[in-house]
Amino acid sequence: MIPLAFCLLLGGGVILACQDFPRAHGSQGFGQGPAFYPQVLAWALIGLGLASFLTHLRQPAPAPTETAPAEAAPEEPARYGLVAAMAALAVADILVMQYFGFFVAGFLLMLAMICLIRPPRGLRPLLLDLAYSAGMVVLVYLVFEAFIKIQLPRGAFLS
Amino acid sequence: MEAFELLTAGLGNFAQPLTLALLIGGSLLGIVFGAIPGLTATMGMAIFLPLTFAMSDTNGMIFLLGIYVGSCYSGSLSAILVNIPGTPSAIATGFDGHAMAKKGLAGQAIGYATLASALGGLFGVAVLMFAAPVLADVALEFSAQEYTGVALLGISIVAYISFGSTIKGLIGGVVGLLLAMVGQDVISGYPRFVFGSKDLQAGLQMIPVMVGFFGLTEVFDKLERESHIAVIQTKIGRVLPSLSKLAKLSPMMLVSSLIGTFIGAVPAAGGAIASMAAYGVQKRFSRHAEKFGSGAPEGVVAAEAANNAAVGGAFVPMLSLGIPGDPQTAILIGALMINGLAPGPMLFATRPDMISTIYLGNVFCVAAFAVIGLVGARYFARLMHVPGHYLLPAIFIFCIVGSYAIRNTLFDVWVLLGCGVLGYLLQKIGIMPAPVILGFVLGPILEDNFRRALIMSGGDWTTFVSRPLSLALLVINAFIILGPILLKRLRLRGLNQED
Repeated sequence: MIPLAFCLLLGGGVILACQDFPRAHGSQGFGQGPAFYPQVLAWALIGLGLASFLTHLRQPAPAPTETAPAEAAPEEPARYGLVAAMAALAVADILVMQYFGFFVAGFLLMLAMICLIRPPRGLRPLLLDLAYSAGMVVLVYLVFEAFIKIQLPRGAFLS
Repeated sequence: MEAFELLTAGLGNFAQPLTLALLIGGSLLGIVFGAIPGLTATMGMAIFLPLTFAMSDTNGMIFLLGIYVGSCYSGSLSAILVNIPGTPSAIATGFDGHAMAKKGLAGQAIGYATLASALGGLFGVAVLMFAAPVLADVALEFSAQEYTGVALLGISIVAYISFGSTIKGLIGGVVGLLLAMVGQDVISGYPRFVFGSKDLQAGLQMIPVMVGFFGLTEVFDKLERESHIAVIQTKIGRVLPSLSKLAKLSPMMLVSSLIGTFIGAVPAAGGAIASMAAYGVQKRFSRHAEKFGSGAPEGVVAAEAANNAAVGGAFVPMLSLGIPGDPQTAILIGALMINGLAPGPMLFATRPDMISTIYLGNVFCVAAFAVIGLVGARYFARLMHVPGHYLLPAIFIFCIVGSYAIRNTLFDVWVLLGCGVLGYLLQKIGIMPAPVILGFVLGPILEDNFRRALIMSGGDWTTFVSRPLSLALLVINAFIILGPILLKRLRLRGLNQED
């Protein structure tokens, strides 16, 4: 159901967005208009979404078993919260980078991510995390700015 | 161009100390990325692609080749030592390699894997040197109609072979094609889907999209299901196997290399399928089939020779037709395009030195990983102890800086993040990143040729079926997509009749 909804949304959105594109007329205009190709793709996407849905409907349900299912190995629970937190940190990093530049934002991002994945227990691990974050920022500086001469963002406040 | 000339045109590059340093550095990085479970060749190549901006196009290619070839080999290290293949192509290696490690023969397993990988790699390159120019000559006859068929072929094969359902693979391919459309229309110049943004007018840049889908998506995925890897503390003893044993295994290596090269040349088939197929064939025809899976060196050799030979095979469609054989060659195509080079048959005429660099680069990279692997096996085993909470943030930072570095704009970092999140969410509904990226890379080729063919024919759709070669390509496309469904139905009907 989700793939169908995704295809309908994206395909429908593309078709709608194409309504404002200039049209090419006449037999020679075929394929020339900027809306033609996106619309072909959008309809293909909608068709594929429907095909995916129909395939899903036609899949036979798993046959009920008389015996109890074998005990599966315990799986680690999915950590969606951590993924969302990481994405949010990355957004914050880009915003901080705009104003304070890479060195501040990169260091904070590294440290925050490390602490989020495995919170430090005690002073020594925290110092290690701090040193690692600083070291990584220095490494990035050496590779990108010193070696390949790409100036990393300095930020509006610090430039 | 003569074959010998094609082979030697780029030889001079390898006399430069910087080139050799990049080759060895790339191979080392590749070995690191391949050996650490959770990191992949694709991720490594995507992250380090921006570094190639500071290099000449040939040096950049050599560096990326080193990562590709090195990681393809080193996936075997973690498969042998921890039974977690560093790359999908090393799955079959773990069957016997890990069993050997548990018997205390980890060093020998690594030795067999290294030598078989080297032989397989060299075999693949030899076939590449022979097959690519021949296929490129055929491709020179292609017109817009045929290129449309070839681009569609790339997407449909990837969709068919990629993990999950074919339909979802195709959806991924179309999503990639749609992403490639953002920016100015190739024919009219009209800005499409830019929503008033000046940054979007130039289209989505290849690097943030690739790094987002291949790098960030994998980081998110790894964060979601972080598994604690239990490393078996095994002592790595003698690495080099005896010459007599090697001589006994060499016919098997050659057959597996042949299988690997052939499967590797099929777009999107890749090393994983190649190694499984070679392992299966060797087991089927072995006199001691019962030993496979319990620590037989034959199993390690079959799998490793095949998956490394597949690398050479994957270059055949890339160089001759300009279509990527797997996600790694998609990145290499991206690297060529960023340098203003058009991958495909014309590259043989316009940049023979680049073709030669790719041939010879493969050979030297194989030599580099063989030496590094045999000498440093016991040190690389320690890579598996690198804690994930340090590794993943470091990759994240490199992804961000790498994307920023292309145009010095934070807009590309937003694109990276958007693509990473999109890739992760699509993966959740069974749409894998590889078809999306293949669609993105092939998008401009498909649109340009598809629309040109229609314009040239005055809007006549039969133009795609009136040319024999174009028709043949479309029939192959239809067979790839519909063939498995029809075969399944026939099989079901047969079963019903039996009942």
